[in-house]
Amino acid sequence: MNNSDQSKFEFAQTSWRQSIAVKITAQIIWVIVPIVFISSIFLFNAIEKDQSQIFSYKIDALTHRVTSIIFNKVNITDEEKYTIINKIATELGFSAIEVVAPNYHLTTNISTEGYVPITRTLPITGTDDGFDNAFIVITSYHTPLYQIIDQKRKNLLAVILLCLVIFAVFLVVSIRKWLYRPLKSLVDATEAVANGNANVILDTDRKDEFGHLSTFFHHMIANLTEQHNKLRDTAKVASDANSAKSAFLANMSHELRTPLNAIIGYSEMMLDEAEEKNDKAYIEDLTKTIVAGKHLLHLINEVLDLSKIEAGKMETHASMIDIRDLLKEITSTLEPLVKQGDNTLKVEHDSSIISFRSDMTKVRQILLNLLGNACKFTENGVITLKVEQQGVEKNRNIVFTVMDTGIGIGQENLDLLFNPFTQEDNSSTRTYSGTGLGLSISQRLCNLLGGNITVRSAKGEGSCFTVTLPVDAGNSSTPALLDGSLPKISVAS
Amino acid sequence: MSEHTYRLVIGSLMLLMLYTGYHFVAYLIIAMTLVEGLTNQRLNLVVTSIRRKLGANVSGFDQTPREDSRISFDAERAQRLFIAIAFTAIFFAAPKELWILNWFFAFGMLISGIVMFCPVIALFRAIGFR
Repeated sequence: MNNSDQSKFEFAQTSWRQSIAVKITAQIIWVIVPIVFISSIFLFNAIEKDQSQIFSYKIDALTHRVTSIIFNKVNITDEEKYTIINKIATELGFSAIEVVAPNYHLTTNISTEGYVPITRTLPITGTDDGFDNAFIVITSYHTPLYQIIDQKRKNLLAVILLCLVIFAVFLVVSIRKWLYRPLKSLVDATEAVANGNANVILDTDRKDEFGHLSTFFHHMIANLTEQHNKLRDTAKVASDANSAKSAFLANMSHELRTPLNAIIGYSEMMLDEAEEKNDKAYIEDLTKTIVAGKHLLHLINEVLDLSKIEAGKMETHASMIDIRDLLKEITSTLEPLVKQGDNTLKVEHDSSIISFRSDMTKVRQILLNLLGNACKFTENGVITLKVEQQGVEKNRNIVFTVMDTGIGIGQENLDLLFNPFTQEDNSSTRTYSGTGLGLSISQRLCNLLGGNITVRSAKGEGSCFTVTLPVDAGNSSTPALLDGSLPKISVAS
Repeated sequence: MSEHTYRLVIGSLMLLMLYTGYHFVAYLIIAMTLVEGLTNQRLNLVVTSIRRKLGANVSGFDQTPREDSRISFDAERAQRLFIAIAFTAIFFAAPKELWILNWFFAFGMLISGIVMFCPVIALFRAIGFR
């Protein structure tokens, strides 16, 4: 037996022992067996009673017939009496007889060993031989009654148990054939389908429930296979279309950026010249052109980023990031935007963290995006950036929390917030500028860096975005922790 | 030798002995089950071990012990002790009155071998035996 056969054998043994078929068989048999035994007890009691009565009747019959023969008026010789009595005793199952009467004594020559003597004493009456008030004593030898009963019940019980064994074997074979095998075929087929093999063949010729089940199973597999193929084709078409879209957007963005950079560059040069000549009319127009151009460039960059991420072409470059440098850079970049909305920017920094390992550009982009949004949707409020550490040992994370006291987001729109090209509603798109790509890009960048982004908000109560990033995104070095204190950065504008 | 084969053989032998009246065989079986129960050197395990040493492929007969048992005592071992004690008690205490119980236990072993389910072991397992 090779390994494969052996494992099949083990599976077959185990599955049969643990199958529902064994439980059904065992339950039927173990209900029947005690019932049969209890019924047998009553049957054996009846048999014992019958046998006792039969035994008594035989002894009485023997005694009566022997007495009749001995005192028979017809002249028969002792030899003839002996022959007749011996014959009667044999017929009734007695092994030997001893008759003792006045002037008469008879003993048959059969062995008495192993037999029990049964004695009957009868008074002699109504004879002309002057034997009144005398007695005839007849001793017969017979197999003990308990032996007869014991043998009878043993034979009967053996027959009953043999029938039960035959019934049990029949039940096991039947249930195995009619229930277990088709059920196991279905289980095996289901297992095969679960493992991705749809080429299963079941017995659909049967006319019972298993036959119907097998037929429906085949129909189900055919439908599933068809749907699976359709889905696969559709997914391929969708994937191809998305790749084409991403490639198109990436190419177009690139093609748009090049002339746009040229426009902005030349506009800045012209602005410098206009400023030198103090030509106020040109300065105003050129400034507007540069601002519009930069805004357009920002939008194109966002589209390009999203396309890169969707096309799987966005790469990360992990390096050690100094938190203080990062925070200073962000706060200085955001300063004009904070002032623009008359807001206050507070930075709360856990002084024990000085650096972590991640992609500096992408972390900066995420934080600028979130803080930029906070500035955009808050007026005369407070925007807080909180940096802290969570977790222990290898699961340590750095958590950036951006909170604002702005307009907030309705609960019904929170789920859609990270979808591309989505802002809370159309009116807000009109009131507040933007493509709705910022949060989508931030979320995808977070995922790319091994972290995640969550949001809590309520309409009119501000928003709270939490970015969780692993302390060591590259797993190449452990960040150093600062023992000394770092002053909290608070930028008021 | 699996546990079921063991029950089949022992049950058949006991029934044969009860029918023929060779009590010597019964005493031998009782002694054997008692030794099995006391030492946990069960016949089927010994036979399987010998067969394995002789090179036979008997891995399918291994029994998996239950991990969640409350009592660290094999249910099969408890069954051997139960059988030995029950047979001894009936043989020597009330053979004429309780004769049918011997037949019941012997037939129970035989039938549990056929249907692969022993209620005594199931009971012991339900109590918490391994």
